[in-house]
Amino acid sequence: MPPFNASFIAIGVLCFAPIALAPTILVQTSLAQTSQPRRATPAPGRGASGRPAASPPTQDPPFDVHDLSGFWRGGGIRYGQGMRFSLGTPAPPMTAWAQARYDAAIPGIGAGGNKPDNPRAKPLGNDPIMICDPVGYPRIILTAGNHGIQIVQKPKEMIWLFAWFYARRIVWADGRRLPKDPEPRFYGYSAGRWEGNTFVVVSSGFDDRSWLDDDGHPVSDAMKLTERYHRIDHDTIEFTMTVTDPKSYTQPWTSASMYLHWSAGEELGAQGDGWEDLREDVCIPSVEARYKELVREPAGAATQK
Amino acid sequence: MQRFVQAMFTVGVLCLSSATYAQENQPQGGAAPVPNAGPGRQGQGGGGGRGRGGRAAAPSPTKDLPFDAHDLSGFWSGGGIRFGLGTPVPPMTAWGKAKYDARIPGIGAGANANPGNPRAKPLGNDPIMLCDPISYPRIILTAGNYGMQVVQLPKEQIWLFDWFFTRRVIWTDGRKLPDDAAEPRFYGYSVGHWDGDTFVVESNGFDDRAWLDDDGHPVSDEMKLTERYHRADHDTIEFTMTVTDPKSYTQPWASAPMQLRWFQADQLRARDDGWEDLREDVCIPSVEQKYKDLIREPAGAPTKK
Repeated sequence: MPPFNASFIAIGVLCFAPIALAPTILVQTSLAQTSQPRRATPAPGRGASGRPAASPPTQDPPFDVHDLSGFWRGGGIRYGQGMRFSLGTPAPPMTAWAQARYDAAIPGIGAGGNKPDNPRAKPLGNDPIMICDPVGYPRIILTAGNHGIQIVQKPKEMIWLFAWFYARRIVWADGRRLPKDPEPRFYGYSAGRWEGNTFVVVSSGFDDRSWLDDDGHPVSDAMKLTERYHRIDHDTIEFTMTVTDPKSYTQPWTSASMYLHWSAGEELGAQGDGWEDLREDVCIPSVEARYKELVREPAGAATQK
Repeated sequence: MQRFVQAMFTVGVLCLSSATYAQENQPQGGAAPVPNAGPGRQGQGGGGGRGRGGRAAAPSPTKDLPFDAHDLSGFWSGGGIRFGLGTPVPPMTAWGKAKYDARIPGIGAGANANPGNPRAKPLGNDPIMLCDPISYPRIILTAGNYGMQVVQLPKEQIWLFDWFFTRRVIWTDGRKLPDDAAEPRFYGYSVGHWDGDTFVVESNGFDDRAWLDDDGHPVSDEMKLTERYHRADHDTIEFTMTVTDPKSYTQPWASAPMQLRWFQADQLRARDDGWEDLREDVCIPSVEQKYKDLIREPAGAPTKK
């Protein structure tokens, strides 16, 4: 188990943390975080390491079910149960167009070790994010398990800021309709509205160079994404998403339930100095390139059969 | 002249617009001509905004609207200076000078007789050419023709930039800047407060890999940046910045006055479909690479001496 973990971490986790190359301490933090089961401890955020696991003090306070504001950590499927690297449910049959794309995609995440997490993965793979191409939506929320999210809710828009890739999305809630034939975007065009206590987000206009998930499932410019967010207690937002992309999948693909977990202020503090916000985990191509030479390729070679 | 404009356009403008290359679309326009502007998208004739290309400049319909002097919210076009701060650079330290001399701007090259920046060479070694982060304050100095959105909240302001799909967060919750930020950031750590009708932003914790401006002036991890924003009328925010960086410059460097200009709603519309927001002008390394092979290098070659 330890060797498996170690190589998985080497190939999988650190692939995401090139910025950690410079401040070595971060590498250690990432290792510590990821080796913990996700749900067993309160957020594996910065500052959390070393503290005993305790019930979050924020679980029971009152909350507004129509308010998603705050700092959250992603609850994607990646490190979750069952169907890793995707939506947590079996992919519907793909079209020929999509199957060809999927077959050509070689995941880099989940390789490593003698028993790889994702049998399709090969060390390094051809995952576009390895050279800092945009991670895209919804992949960023599916894989954001150990990264922070800040949601800012305004009357007419919701702004979602991601630590990872320093990315963002804006969900407009001003009544506008999705554009008919827009410039494709990696993070799509999104409009949201409340249906009872559920915030429903519909999105379209995606860039088909994106990978849907770490496994390289395809996305086409015809994809419509429907997400449903429901704040079930102070600390938890439960959500699902449905991918409707007839160019890629022969039927709609609905995810398993996923969660966003409240990130307590102290988990965000960089070093107990009261500075609570998201990290600037921007992808730096020149660092990625050096990192690939120094770490990824040696690590990949060692585990490659 | 036509050749000059063309060369300027090729080397200067397109260097910045790989996303445009991919997305086959017109650049987002800014309202104000930029003083001392380099050969950015200005080369396209005063910055035709989306949806307003070809139309003559008309008096702003919003200029005389009432406004709240303490509200910077809205969509703005940057009013930067590009090569420096619009004032003479103070003498650099040896450390600062060595960094500056090693930097070869790519922006402002082109045209045999009248380059926008005599230090520039086609391609140069500007990190943004690889999609390395553009950083702050460079993004606002060079954001002349790109849009920004300021989201003002009670405890923070979020500034979203079209270009590089990036952002900064200015905390107004009373926190102090970190004494010795563990993780340097390309976009720094920022706090703001109102001083009468002036919004004062102080920042530190910068990453010294950043270029201060398109000319490659240095930034050290000791840089403190002070910005003062004043909403002069509905359509105009006037601002200045002062760089205090004793590791790079022997005295503080105060900028000339700069402006942010209100972005009329119709300038934001992609194609009259009512979708008003910032473009997703994310830098895509794989596209940059292809673009370099296909366009930059061939374009740079003929103008090289």
